[in-house]
Amino acid sequence: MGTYRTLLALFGAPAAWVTQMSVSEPIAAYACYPHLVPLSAPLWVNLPAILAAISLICLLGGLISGYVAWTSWRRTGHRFSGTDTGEAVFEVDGGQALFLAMLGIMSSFVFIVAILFTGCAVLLVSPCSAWT
Amino acid sequence: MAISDMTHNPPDDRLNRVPDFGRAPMGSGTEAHLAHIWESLPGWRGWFSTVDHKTIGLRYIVTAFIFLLMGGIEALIMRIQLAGSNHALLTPEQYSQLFTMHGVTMIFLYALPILSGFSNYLWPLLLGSRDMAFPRLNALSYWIFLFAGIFMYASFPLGQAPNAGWFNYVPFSGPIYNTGPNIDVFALGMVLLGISTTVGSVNFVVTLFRMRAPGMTINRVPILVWGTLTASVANLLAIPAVSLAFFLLWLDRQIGTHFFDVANGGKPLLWQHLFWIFGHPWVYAIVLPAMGIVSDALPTFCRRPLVGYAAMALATIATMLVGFEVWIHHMFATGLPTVALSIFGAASMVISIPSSVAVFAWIATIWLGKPVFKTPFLFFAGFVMLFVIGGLSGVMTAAVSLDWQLNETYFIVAHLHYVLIGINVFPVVGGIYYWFPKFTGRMMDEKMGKWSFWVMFIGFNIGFFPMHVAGLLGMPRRIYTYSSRMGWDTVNMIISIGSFIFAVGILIFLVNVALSLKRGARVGANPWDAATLEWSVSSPPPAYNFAAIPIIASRHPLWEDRLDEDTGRSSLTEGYLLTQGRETIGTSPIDAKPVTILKMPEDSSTPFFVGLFVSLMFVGLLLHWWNFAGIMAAAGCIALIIWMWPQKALAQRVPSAAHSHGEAHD
Repeated sequence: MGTYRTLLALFGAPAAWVTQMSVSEPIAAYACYPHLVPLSAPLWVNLPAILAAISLICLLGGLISGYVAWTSWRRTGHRFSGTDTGEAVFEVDGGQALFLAMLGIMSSFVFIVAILFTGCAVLLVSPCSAWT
Repeated sequence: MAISDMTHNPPDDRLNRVPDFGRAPMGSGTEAHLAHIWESLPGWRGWFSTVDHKTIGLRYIVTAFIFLLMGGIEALIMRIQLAGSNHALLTPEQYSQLFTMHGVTMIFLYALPILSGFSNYLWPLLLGSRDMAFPRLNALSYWIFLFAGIFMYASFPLGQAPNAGWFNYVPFSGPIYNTGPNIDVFALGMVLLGISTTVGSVNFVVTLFRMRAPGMTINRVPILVWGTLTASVANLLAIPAVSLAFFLLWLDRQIGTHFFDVANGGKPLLWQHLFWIFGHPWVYAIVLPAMGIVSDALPTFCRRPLVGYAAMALATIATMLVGFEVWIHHMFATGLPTVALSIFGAASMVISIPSSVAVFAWIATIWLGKPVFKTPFLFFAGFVMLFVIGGLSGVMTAAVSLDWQLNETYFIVAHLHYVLIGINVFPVVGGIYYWFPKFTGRMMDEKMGKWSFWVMFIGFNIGFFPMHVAGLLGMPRRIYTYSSRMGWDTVNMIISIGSFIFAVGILIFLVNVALSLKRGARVGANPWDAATLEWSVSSPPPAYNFAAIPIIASRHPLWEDRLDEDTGRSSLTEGYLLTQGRETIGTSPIDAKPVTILKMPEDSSTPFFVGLFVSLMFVGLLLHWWNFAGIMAAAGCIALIIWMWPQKALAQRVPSAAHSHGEAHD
């Protein structure tokens, strides 16, 4: 499994979620509280659409990461289906590659769920109103 | 390109060496030579100069536990004050200093340092190495931690201790409302402590990716290592935020800047953001290694491997990653827009997923195993229950609307104590019972151990569960007394009684430690019949840890015959000998193939002096002795130059034979 594939599988979905959080939060906060006084309506009328678009793009990133993780897992599983029985001082049997592929799948799953949670959070409340 | 290939540097032929491969049984000439090389000097010079990770680890544990006792005594004094209404044992200012120092002590001077102690002691033994990657940095980390603790406590006897809570919110902690030296002590002390935590974290990260025994691939490292690794990476990212925050506050207070000064365009919320960007990851940094202690030790008493190793490793990493994006749940009541709160509320609830994975893995391990009800098992099983209670109240407060009701009440105090005591203190005490034979070569008394567990467990729940009720009755945090008409008397009396019962449990534990140190039954290498590598060496371990660097073939090197997992057999007595000075083997990050012979530094007093001079420089800054601070900075630099002076003997060697072994296999 290539280095960049491994890194994408492991950290692609977390990075997508971090991006979603780090972009959505300041945009949402600034739209309702740009200077010293809070606003009753966002600076931009289409704020919910902007936030939904960010969520969708990040979800796409998470899904790509998940796909890469899944294909890596399948390929790695085929390649290292047996234990090497060489005569070397120690053996590297490919278990670590399988392990990293498995971590990639689980990591993608958890953070795709996180992206969906965060996306739903945006949809559940009106942008600048009191908590209702 | 395989990941391991990225770490292979072009070999320098002049430094090629064929390392000896063989055995060095106890009492052999090779073993005696190794002992001579690795043992520290006797007497006070050796005491100051040792860089042995085991000594440093035990110093961390003992020092942090002393801080725990100090913080505990502060808590008991507060509980006497709050046991009934209108008590006047403490003045409001004394109470403010007590609860602040209690928080500072427990969170900064106990919770992480004690885990650093465990990891410092155990990592090289768990990983099959002879020391940490940077032994002198390790010593520096301890000395600065010790000096930072003394620094922060120095003003306490003078009645000038930090007094604005461990989170130290501005503007209350700013120069207008807090005119004494109290906050300056805290601010500079935190910057100083940040140096210790940072260098310690660097050491852990490099050690994991460079110092594992050959064959210990990334899927074979113990969960404690995953926990400390994620905590260390988090610290490297989080500590700069809090160090910057405290430094800016100190500038506001002493130099006249206005970072947090509202009247001059400063932003109090900037403090909260910087503090909690650090603060929430820190909470995970002080529980994940403790969770790792349980994950590694619990299977020993269940007589089976941990269920869901990969899921647990992922849960550890995922918890930390999510933990970086939830800090605003500490700021739900600051008036941020609702969408922003909603986003962080949702993210905070996501943490329940990896946390649940961990809980179910522990429960499944107990369920599928054959539990042996020894004292450590009781502490670990108790921890699982407290983890669930603390976690549930955490999910509750992740809901914004409920958090607004509970914010600043005793419900939050209950939650954070279930998290910090339940997920840190219980695993730590259980861990001491578990590894005490390795530390000392003696067992702790089992009967007293069970007494200490039950008294602590019952006392803790009597002391802290009613705090939920007190919070729901509306009792605010950080009040020094209350009126009898509030209806909080009974619940507070119960809380105080429980706190003292808990303290009695800790006392029984301490008596057990003291008696067992002298009279405990002597034990061999593996008294618990455990699976991991540290139990393959004598108790206590020799100075060099492993006479022959072991070759690892599975996740449970001491249970291979029993489990018969078709992974081959580890070689625990035959391996790389490396006897030409202080040496150990350096391996590739993922595959753990030998890539270099690491020449390790000798003992040195320079870490002590660097730590001392840096700390004295902070004393100078506190007292406005600018010239003194400058002289100490220069002295620190000179000590660093002596420390870092290049030595030919420390050039790394390429183990050509070992290298070819690994490559031949490819």
